[in-house]
Amino acid sequence: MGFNSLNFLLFFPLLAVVYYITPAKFRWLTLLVASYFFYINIKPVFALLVAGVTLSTFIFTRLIDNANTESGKRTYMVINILLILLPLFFFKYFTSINNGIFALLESHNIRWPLPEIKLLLPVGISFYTFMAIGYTVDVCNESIKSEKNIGILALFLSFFPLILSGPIERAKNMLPQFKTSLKLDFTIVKQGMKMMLWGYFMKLVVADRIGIYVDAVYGNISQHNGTSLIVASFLYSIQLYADFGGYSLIAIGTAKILGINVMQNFKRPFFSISMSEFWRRWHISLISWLTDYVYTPLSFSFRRFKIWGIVLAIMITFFLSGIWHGATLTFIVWGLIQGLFLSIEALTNKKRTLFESKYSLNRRIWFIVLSCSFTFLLFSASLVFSRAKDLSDALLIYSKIFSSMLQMPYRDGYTMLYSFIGFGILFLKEFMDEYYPDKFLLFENKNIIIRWLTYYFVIFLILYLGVFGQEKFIYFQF
Amino acid sequence: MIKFAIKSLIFVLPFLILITIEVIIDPFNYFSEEKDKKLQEKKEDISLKTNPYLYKLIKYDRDPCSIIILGDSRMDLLLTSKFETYSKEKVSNLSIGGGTVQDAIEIFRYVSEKHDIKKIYWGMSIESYSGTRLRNRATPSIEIKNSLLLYLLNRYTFSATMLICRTMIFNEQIDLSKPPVSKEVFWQDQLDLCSRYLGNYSYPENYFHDLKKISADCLAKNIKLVFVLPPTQLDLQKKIHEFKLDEEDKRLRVDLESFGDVYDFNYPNTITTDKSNYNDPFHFKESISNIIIQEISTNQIKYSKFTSITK
Repeated sequence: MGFNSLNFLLFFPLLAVVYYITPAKFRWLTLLVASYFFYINIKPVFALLVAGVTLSTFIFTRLIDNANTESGKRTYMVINILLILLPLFFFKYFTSINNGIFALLESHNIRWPLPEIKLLLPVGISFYTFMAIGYTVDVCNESIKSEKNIGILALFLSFFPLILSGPIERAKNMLPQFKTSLKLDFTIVKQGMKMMLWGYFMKLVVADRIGIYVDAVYGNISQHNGTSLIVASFLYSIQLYADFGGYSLIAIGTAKILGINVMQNFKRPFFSISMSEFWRRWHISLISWLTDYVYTPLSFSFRRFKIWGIVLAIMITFFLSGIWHGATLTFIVWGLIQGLFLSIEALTNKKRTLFESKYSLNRRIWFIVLSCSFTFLLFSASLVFSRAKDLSDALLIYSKIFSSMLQMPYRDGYTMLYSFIGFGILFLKEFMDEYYPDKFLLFENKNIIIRWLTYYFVIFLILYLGVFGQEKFIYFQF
Repeated sequence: MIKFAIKSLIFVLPFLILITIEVIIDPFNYFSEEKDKKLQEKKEDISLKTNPYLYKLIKYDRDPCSIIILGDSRMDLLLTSKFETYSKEKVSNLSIGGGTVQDAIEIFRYVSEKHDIKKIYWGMSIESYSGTRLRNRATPSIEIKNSLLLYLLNRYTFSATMLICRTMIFNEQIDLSKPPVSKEVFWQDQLDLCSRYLGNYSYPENYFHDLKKISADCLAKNIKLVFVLPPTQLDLQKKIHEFKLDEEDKRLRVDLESFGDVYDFNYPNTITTDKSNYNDPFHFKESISNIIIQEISTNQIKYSKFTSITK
């Protein structure tokens, strides 16, 4: 049951009604049952994994809280992290490692004795595992007390709006919310509904429409020229944003309707003027998680290397980010490229800042436009690795881009037209929100006619230009 | 609470009205067969052209038959009544204008899962058997057909309902298919369209594998797979040479011959050299359509080059 399935459109309103008529102190229980029902609906056996991660995290965080010594706390923390990482490694990385070793040995005429095991990756495992690790570390660092009610902890790790693809939330933000008795506030409900509506627009009108073009080109790389591959690569960046950004908005909106505030996951990333700014606006929950639990401790340990310590910490963090996305060489390369971009920015930061402020570049429109375009270009170029099937496909794309660039691209009239309309509207809204946040309000306009006309228009666009029947979001694979 | 409920009700009111109208008009006969002849004519004029797959699939599910036609507008020109005349075959035509191989594959999958199929006439050409012709209108139509909510809240039902209402209220005729240009201009337009398809051509590895699977499936289920290469006017055939796709055109035939029986009308012959047999370089006239039907349904070969998979 994905957010864009009809089952969800029936399930969620029903749940919202049941949730609000449940006495406040038992609402968390309603949400817990609903969350497990939601997850079991995808594949029942996967729910056992979440339950296992929950149980392990509960036991060890309680032990951490009760431990008297610092080393005892650290030991329990490490044991729990290793335990909850086991299923992630097994399901996500075992096949790749097995295949890698198999191929390596076979190239030396040695047969690998283990048979190939094809495992279906449990949806959302990377997300709830990271949430559980974050919680364990927070308890160990005493920035949060361990939760005494296993039900509340289970809800935190299985909360249905977040379990499939995040945002990767923090216990500090979520646990108190599950325990407070919330009053039904229609202003918040309306806000949540608006977020969901825009999320559906991003997913169904923009992402899935552009996806038709991208799939057509990336599905048959050898048959397309360099221009088509460039167009498809740029479009893939937009597709990924609209898909994941749309998903995040639906997730945040869904939680909001239930009175739960979830952190923002995207903040108009394509208006970033540098890669470091881009990563403060793209998949914010993952990056802030990596910053808090990987980058900051690492840069602290490497502080004696000064700026090179920071570079090393960035490279390791983004290497891990690549591995988190997938156990293939393409994702690792993609992660390392991001690390490289940020490292170059870190190394040149002082000089660049001086130069920019000397000529007041940050206030010049041409500089902002160029910087945004360049950031977009860098990101799109790196995404080739994450979208390509394997490393050789990615390299083939680059070689084709540089060898047959000035040819007519593959054209798919209606898809391109509808994509352009969808993206145009999305771009316009993001542009207004970025540069004129309080002007030309549509969803938030005080005039009810304008507000309602906007809602109707967006619904009309979804029904008229939306692509239905594709229930998957790109980030489900992670 | 009450204020919110009232506002919500007012907000959804236009949708409720729209859905009510859609249920009353039922432009694609989703709920039941249309008994009012006049309204049925309007539906055939409007709904069939708004979303032909949706219209045809709903009709087909209500009255399925074991022989189907798949393909594009050229196959759509084959009248099912003529099959009955020539060979007593009861045939359902599920091809549509601009239909792609991807569409036909999806329709095949849907239909063969639900119904007992004995024979398929599958129209194929180099313009459609291309790795860059990937448009898929069949899957969304199948999705809509399978879901009441989607049927009531999709653009095709909405457009068709509105157009039918317009014809009823203003008593006007709406022709959605008539090209608003002279025959000469349209002829050239179609040649240009062909150039676009051929200019974008790439060998369809994806279709080759899908069709290979379908062929094996058909063999296992005892379904006769018959490919038809409809005759296109010589001007159009010359385009294949112009775009240096002669080898690919041959390869298409080799591929098809490995999947099933093939009736090839698309080569220089008395049909394709005579412009008067055509409305435009793609679309032949009814007399030619009858010849094709007669040949493929009775296997009395006169114009086509026939290759049997069992040879």
